[in-house]
Amino acid sequence: MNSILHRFLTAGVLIVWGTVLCAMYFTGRITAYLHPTFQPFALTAGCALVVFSVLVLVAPEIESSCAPSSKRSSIRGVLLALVLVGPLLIAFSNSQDSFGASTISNRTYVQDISQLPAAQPPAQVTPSAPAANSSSPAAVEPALPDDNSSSQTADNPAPADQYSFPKTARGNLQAEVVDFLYAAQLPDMRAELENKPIEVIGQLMPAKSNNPNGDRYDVIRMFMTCCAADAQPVALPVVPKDKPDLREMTWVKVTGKATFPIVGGQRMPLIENGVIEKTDPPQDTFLY
Amino acid sequence: MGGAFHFNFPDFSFAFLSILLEGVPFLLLGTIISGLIDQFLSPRWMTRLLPRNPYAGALVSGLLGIIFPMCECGVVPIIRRLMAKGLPPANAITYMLAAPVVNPIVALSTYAAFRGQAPLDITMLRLGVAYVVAVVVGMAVHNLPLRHVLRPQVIADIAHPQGLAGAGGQGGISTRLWGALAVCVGDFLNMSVYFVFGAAAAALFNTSVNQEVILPLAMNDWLATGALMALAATLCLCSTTDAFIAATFVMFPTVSKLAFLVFGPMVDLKLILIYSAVFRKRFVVGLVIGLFVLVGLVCMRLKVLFALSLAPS
Repeated sequence: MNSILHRFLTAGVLIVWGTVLCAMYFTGRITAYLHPTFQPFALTAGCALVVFSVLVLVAPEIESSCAPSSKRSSIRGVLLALVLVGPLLIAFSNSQDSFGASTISNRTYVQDISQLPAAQPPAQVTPSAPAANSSSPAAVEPALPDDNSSSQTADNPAPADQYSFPKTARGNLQAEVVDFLYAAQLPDMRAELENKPIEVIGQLMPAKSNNPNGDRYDVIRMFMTCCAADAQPVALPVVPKDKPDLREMTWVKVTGKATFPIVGGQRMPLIENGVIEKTDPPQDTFLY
Repeated sequence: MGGAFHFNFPDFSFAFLSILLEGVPFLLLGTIISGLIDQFLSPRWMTRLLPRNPYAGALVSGLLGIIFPMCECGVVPIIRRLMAKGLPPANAITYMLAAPVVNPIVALSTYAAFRGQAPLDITMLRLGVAYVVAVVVGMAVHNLPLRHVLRPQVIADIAHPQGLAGAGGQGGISTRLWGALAVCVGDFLNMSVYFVFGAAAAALFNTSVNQEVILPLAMNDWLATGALMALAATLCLCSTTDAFIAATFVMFPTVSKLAFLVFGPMVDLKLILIYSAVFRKRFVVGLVIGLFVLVGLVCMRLKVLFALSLAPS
């Protein structure tokens, strides 16, 4: 009886873990939890655990070292199964696949791109490539250095739009929060954005710094290196045209003028005269 | 909000689940290898591979990660199995501490993460310090009685390998594969209990503690080094990717980042609990304190020897 109980408990734990891992992957929830590099690992592990659970049930000769031999060890086995399954299922059902305002406030905001070495700058565009091709510039791989780039002369000038910021129907440049941090450090990229109308999507928070009057806000995007637990909030300060009547962490679309003032000896991005409107979350709520 | 601690259950669940999703594949891989070692590795293999001199054995064990790279989540079930196969505990501990750092994957990820911040120096120092610390700890453990190091059940496994599921090297292929599955599943369930508690502790810190509280510590080398080692222990990052986090601590001195990179893969909240499955609690406490002091001192000494930058990078 103990042996049968142990076998079913073991298979049960394995199938719950495997199903949760597979469900996270196939429902797409995993994109909020893991960097794309790690997502196939979770699927592989989930499938392996499901297969193992079936094998544990059908295997005639399985004798585990922790097989229970008494009533006491059966109770221990049940408790072990509860410890392994309970927290996983509770977390699975309670997680909202995103962080709330309190966790964001507990983390140090990234406002300088040097604090985000894992990030990739947006793509530069070659003269023949269309600039408005990408709807997500930050997701595009940076262009490889071109051997011919040094041969650009007055007869063959560099393209005016070096970076691939797409334009909206209203003529605003669409960029990600992290692009503005890059632009603060890269003069060519800054030239594409500075004093131009822009549009950016993120989550609204009151500004943590340089906000003596309490009238500034930060547009936040979480940047994930490996998993959500290590994600860092990347913040873009906004001076709003009108004070928004929105809750913290609401997904917003901000349109305004991109500026790059020098604050404390360092060039920082700032959106001036920003119009803040509620919007739907993007497909990928995290930046990678 | 705004205080040093604020608990939010959905956020805790989110971070907890993300740590589990990231760690479980590596834990499973470690236990699969553990099962295969149990069934397919001859008990004499280890004693043939390593030098008979225990100190020379520790020196070689510290480099085994180059051939058998393994992250910290998966290495503990492997060394448990290797000890049952005849690997001396001192050498097993050297491999356990060194392998998550001294391997090609970590070398590449560290180099990539620190681009623009003397990547070659940091990579070499990380691997070098981890190797030295692991060998020193392994040699120190060699002089301790086994009963002070290992849990009684593990000592029994070493003394009587047949106590484990399958002694290895016996029976046909299918018998051994079934045996490997039994060992793998048993190890996975045992280690997962500790991993669940460790992930919960890491998620609690990750979501509830205001991380700006520790920033003032960056102004002092000693405090910064201790603070980043403590942070590494609480964040429970994987050694293959922790360099990407360490590289972001731009206001911290280089020595403290080095200490973070060496100490984190050797000690963190989940590892402390996973170690407890194999080692005696008192030994685990001593190991944690010893590693904290040793890594801290070695890194601070390196600052003097190599004039590592005192200023933020």
